[in-house]
Amino acid sequence: MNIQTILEKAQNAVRKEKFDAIVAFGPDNAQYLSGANLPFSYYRRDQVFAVVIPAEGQPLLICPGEWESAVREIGNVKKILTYRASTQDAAAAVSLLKSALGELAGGRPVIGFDRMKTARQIEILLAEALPSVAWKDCSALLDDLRMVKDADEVALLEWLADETDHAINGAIHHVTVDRRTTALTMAEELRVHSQERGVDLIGYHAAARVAGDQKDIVAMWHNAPRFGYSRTDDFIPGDVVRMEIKNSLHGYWADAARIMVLGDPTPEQREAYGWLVFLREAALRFIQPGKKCCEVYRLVKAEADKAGIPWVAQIGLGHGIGVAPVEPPFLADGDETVLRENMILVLEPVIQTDQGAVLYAKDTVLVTPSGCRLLGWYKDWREPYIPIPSI
Amino acid sequence: MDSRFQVMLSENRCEAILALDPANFSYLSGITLPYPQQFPLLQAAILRTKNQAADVVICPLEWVHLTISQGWQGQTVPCSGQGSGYERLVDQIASAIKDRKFTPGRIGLDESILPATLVELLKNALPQITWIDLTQALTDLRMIKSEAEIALLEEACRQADRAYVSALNHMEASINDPLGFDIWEFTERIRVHMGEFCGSGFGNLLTLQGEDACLFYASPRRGVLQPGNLVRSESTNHHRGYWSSSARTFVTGQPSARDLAAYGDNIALKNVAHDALLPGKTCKSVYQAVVDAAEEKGIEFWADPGVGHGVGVSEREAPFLTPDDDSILCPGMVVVLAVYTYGPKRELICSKDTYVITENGSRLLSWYRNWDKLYVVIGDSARHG
Repeated sequence: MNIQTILEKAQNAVRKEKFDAIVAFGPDNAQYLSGANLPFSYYRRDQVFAVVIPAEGQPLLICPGEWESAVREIGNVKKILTYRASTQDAAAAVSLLKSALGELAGGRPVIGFDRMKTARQIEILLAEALPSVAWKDCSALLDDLRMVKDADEVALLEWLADETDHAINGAIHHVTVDRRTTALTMAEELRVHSQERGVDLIGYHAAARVAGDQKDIVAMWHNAPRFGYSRTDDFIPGDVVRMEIKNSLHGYWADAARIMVLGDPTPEQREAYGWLVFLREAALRFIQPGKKCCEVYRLVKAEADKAGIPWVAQIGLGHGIGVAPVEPPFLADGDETVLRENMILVLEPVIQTDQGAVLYAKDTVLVTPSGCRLLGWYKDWREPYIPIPSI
Repeated sequence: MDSRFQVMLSENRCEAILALDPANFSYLSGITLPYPQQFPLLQAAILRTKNQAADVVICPLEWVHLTISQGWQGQTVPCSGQGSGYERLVDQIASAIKDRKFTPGRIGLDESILPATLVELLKNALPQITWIDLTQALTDLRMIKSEAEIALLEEACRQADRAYVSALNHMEASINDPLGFDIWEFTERIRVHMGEFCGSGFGNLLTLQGEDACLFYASPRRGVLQPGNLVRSESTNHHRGYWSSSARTFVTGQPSARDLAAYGDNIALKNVAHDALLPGKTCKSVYQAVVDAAEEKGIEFWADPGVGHGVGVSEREAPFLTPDDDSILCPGMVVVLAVYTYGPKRELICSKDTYVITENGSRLLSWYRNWDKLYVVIGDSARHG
């Protein structure tokens, strides 16, 4: 990843929006701007990890002292200020910010911060520490920066989508209908095959999940609270299996889901899978630069309604992907974002059949100058995977 | 927790508490959510009331099922507002609170740690409510664990140590094999075994060998484990939402005298910290005991992260065994001792253990294996599997 391109893009935006600087406190935003991918930072929000992008000059990163070696090794920001772990991490971080931002031009500097992700406590401390600063929310600016990917980001996300679909195919290749397979072994095969193709081994939500039996297939988040693992029940010939995995490399993500049918699909299974294909193809027809996300959603919804498809539309049609596996924009009723070239989206329409099965596939698409392009099809997914019946 | 929760509400003259921080949400609801920290914005809220019958969870439609399957007895209200910021979530919260007709309308909120935009929207949507910042009160409540919580934490520790042992058992016969044993595979086996021993999820996963182990965290490494290295492996995992934070250090091949001495130094300092874990003492006194012992024994230790922290519905939480934490250790607190010292190549050595503070001292929760001796990995099998 060429972090310099991202920094230049960020600094141009900072100047264009007439900020003297911006500060990102959200771990995803801080990661994006610094290249410092620290998965645990999302889970240790009391420890402040912030990146300052000034309108001119070099970026600055603030983090706890014990993270410094990791930030230097993984990230690309050279100027790093650290504070000692304590019960007052926020105050210590703000104190460092005060000294750093004090170097900005006098008068009343305008400094942006991602208020949508900044703790109220930090906002108060900032206002007290730097009363002359005009603090303004720059959440939209950061979302905007992140939504449109540069060439390196596109290449990395495409590689991840390719290799993840390849890994799924590698894993399901081991399945034979009349031989014992469980949701757990299938999920673990998905992870192992992903690792074998070179993704990073990280934890948290980089999990594989497989739903194979009736009690699991009726929910999107089955097997609660064991979201990290799947059930040990054997697959039953004839069942529909839903497989899902999130993979990461250098802090960027793939978010994939596929369907397998254990045997020749029944007419009902063919119809249900056909609905997913219908929704995907409708989305692919409507996604193009200039269209609003909510507009694409509504167009697909109108077609789905007309065709009588049991789409669970409240969940949305899809989302962006980048340094987070789920990020703006959202192909949903509430998102007015206008689609632009080089946005990367994950299509995720969810249907629920009359029998209660919750089915979805996830496809990654790149918005192109004239429409969009599917990424990462190792095989053609107009039909589900159907393993061999026997050996 | 319930009686202490009710006391907290009464002491603050609140009729309910609204919590949106994911850890607070889990603590108050008993519901583990799927990776809520990693969504772009917070998505779920719990309103817990004096009258339990009025409790409500507000969450995305796709999470409704998991609240029920985890035994949530209150109401669950679906809220799908992707792309609309916090507005739809706040609308649903406001609607739920208005329905409950609180008088005079004092509601606690984990305000300090919530995003500023969200707090502002909430206050604007419900101007009649007097919001009381109960962030610290919730932190205090969470610090003292119930017996049930301690049992869950103990099981999480057991799962972690069993996972380390199993991963080592798979790997150790192959350490001198020309094909080697991949670092990722070793780390992955820790994760897999956490699941096999009924863990509900995993978090941080990291294995660093030799000079790489000088780092606290690093980009995931490729390649195979090499003989003659100190290796530090760190992980976090949870059992029904209650976390363990683990680190174990081992050596590949026969250890040098310096390896053994360095590891012995680490255990010596950890034992000092353990001896200092006494009810009535301050957290900072535990840290200071390690500082003093390190100076006295001439052991260099990495002081930046402190010497430990609490653990519960999050992998790292109060109290903190750091120089400024005045918290008094009390029975029911659960702390992870995380003392980092240096190996011969400046590798960071750590062997974390988790203790619950008791009336008289502390009890080890991570008891599955005694790691006081440096674990030595040797073996020549071609493919142990």
